Amino acid sequence: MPLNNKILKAHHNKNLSLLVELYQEAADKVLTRKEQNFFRVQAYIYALEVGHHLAPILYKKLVEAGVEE
Amino acid sequence: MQNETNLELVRQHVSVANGLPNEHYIDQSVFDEERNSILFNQWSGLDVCSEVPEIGDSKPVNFMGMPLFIIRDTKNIVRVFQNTCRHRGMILIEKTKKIQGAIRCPYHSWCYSTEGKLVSTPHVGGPGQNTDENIDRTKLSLVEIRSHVWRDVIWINIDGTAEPFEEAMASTIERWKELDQKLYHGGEEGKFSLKVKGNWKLAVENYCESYHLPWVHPGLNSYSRLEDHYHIVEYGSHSGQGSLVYRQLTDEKGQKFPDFKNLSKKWSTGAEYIALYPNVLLGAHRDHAYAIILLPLSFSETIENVHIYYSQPDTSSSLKKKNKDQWKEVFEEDIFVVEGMQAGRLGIKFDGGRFSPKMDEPTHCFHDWVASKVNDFRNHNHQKTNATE
Repeated sequence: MPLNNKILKAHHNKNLSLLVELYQEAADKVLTRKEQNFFRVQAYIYALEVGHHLAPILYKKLVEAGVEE
Repeated sequence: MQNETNLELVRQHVSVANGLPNEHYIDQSVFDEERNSILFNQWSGLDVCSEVPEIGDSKPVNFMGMPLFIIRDTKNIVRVFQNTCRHRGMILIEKTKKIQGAIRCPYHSWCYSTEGKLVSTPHVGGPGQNTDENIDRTKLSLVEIRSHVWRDVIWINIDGTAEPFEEAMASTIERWKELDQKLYHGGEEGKFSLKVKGNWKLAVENYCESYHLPWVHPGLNSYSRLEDHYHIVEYGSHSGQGSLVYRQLTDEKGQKFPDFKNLSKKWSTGAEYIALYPNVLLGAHRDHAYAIILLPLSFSETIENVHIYYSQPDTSSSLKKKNKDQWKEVFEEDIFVVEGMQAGRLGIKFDGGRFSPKMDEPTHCFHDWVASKVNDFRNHNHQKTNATE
């Protein structure tokens, strides 16, 4: 299943932990820094919501990219 | 409001006073005035801590039309917040749920910690950019409502102007000092709700007097007779009734609830029932206690949330059920009275009623409190108006 469809399905199922992983995967696949930040923000916000163990790592990356404080 | 209600007669001595005018029960503008003058500016009961027993538990509660939520934060402190996102005013928490990490607004996903701090603002500076020079997160925390916990009840002072809780409620706290012990909520067998088609004040008024017991609660009166009761009257604070003949509940094996520790002799057969103004009704016995929080839905509808507590965490569930059923029956017996008094106040020639000087002083005490607080509020507003003219 294409990643986009997986993301839509996870949204539909409200599977927030899976969304963290899928958005992170999306961030790793895109070409531009801007796109990467966008998907990483998506992953980070769901990670924050569910208290996901990746939240601090994502936060650090976003801060290093200059898009989070 | 077109015309302010006349409260002069209410504040007279109980022997000559009238009750609150009809408008205090049936008029939207007076309901709105009371919201600001006796509920938002005092310490009102909102809910109980036992409704959010674990860290991260949250529950939305509507109080007089104001959306709030309670939450147990990561430091185990129960807090109350306005249930409104600082971004676009979206409701944050729609239903009772556990917050595992952050409170995420379902609209644009601004995230708040359980302590109310704004921790992230996704894409606020454009796609992939969570910061913006004009968005100062330190100034955009959730609006926290001043709160205090006593006897598991979460008390709130919405406008933030009331004196500290311990001072405002000093006489009641002192009266029940020996009862200030750890309370264990009865769980599902320790709570129920009743919806009443009556103004919330009528539930207070009916609760704090024993005059009606022989007529409305004949079962209760068979062992706890009218003459076994005494009035509790503390003008400016609370009123209620006490009983001298409390009998402990027993199950089929003769077991009773364990007592609270080191109580004085008075509580061996005594019980007290206090309306702590404005909207909390408390009951205390040697072996259990309860709190009833009145949540007004409108000027003619009220929810009564009842919570029963014990001295130990692992008391018999069948006995707890029996106790719950017993209290539920008693409180249900009161519903027709509250609803009847509400309906009676549509009689435009009703003058607020006359009190029995001997039997109605606890009720008069409450009316006097309402009238004094409403008068204070009006006087304050008049002074403000005069100052700006």
